[in-house]
Amino acid sequence: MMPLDDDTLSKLLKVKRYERPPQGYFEQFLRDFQERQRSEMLRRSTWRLALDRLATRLGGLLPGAPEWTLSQIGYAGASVGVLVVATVFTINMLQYPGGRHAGQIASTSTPLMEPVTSTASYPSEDRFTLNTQFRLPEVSLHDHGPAPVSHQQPRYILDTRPVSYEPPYRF
Amino acid sequence: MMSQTLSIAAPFGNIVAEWDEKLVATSAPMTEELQTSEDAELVARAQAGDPTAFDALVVKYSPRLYGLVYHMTANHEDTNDLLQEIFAKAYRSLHGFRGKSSFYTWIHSIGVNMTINFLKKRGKRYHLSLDDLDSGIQNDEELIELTSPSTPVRETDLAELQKRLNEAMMKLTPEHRAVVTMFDIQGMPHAEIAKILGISEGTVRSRLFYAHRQLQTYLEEFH
Repeated sequence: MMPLDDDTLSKLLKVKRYERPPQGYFEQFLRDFQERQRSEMLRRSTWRLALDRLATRLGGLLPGAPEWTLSQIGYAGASVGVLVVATVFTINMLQYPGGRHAGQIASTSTPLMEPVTSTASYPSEDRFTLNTQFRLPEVSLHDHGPAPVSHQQPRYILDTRPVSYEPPYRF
Repeated sequence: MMSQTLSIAAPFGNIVAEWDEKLVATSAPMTEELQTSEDAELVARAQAGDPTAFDALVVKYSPRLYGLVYHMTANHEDTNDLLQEIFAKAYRSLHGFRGKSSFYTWIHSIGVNMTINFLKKRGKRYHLSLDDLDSGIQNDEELIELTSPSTPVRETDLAELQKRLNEAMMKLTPEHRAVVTMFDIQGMPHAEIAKILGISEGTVRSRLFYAHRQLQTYLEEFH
């Protein structure tokens, strides 16, 4: 059996040109599409609309950039923004646990613990053993103010970083 | 020229969509140059927020795109769903369209890529859901010649021939089916197909050559 030649194949494929959808199909298609558009617009969240606007603005700044790139930049920008805010808050919390004022009070008030065997101003390394006992200082309910400078006890609370490393900005 | 006028209630007002026989033809060649200027105007209006302008583009291109998707899927329902998706995607992406290519090329690219992705997900499972043949086929001289008494095609019912053609097309890979659809059925030139697929003209020719050899093998009983 001889295979089909190109001309006959071309004529056979021409049969497919006569395949048509049912009458009235395209009118109905447009109506369905419009209905779909309306429902999609109602479903779109504010967040998505904001992202689209961002992408459109970026499109104005970067003419010719494809849509997916603009969307990616939009998402990346939003993510970076969230990360920066989260990082700044975390740093702030580490520097001032419990808030800025609490940090200031902690630096001047009575220490939370003091070693029983303490005789010098600062304990040396060899005085701390596993058996070293600590006692909580007696604090009355009315003792909220900073202790007088003359009775100030040595501090054993270690800061997370030296004061000199604190960043210059504050919120 | 026969034409029908249809009033359609659009979401933001009424538009009048003119359905012309010339446009409803799903496979008639439509050269890029003729489309560019009027499309550019419609696109600019749609980008500015005129919803009737995009509706006009849907009216204009849905028959062509229907043909493209239908000949690749051989299933009317899948074609309808895909066509909705294609226009929805085009509408969402319209603000990113900068006119580097024509709207014609752009919308065809979206259509062919979405259809190829759909076919790859569907795999080898398919169910034929074929459209009816237009009555005009009875007057096609080339087909009359082909169905002369000396050829076996004469003995074959046209509906059966249609089914075998579609089954043969389904044996091709989605990429080969795309070039056969655009070149042999829709009559697009190689250069236009190359632009739509984002490949070289040489690759288009090579895919066509390979696809034709395969189809000739699958359909050799008609000779």
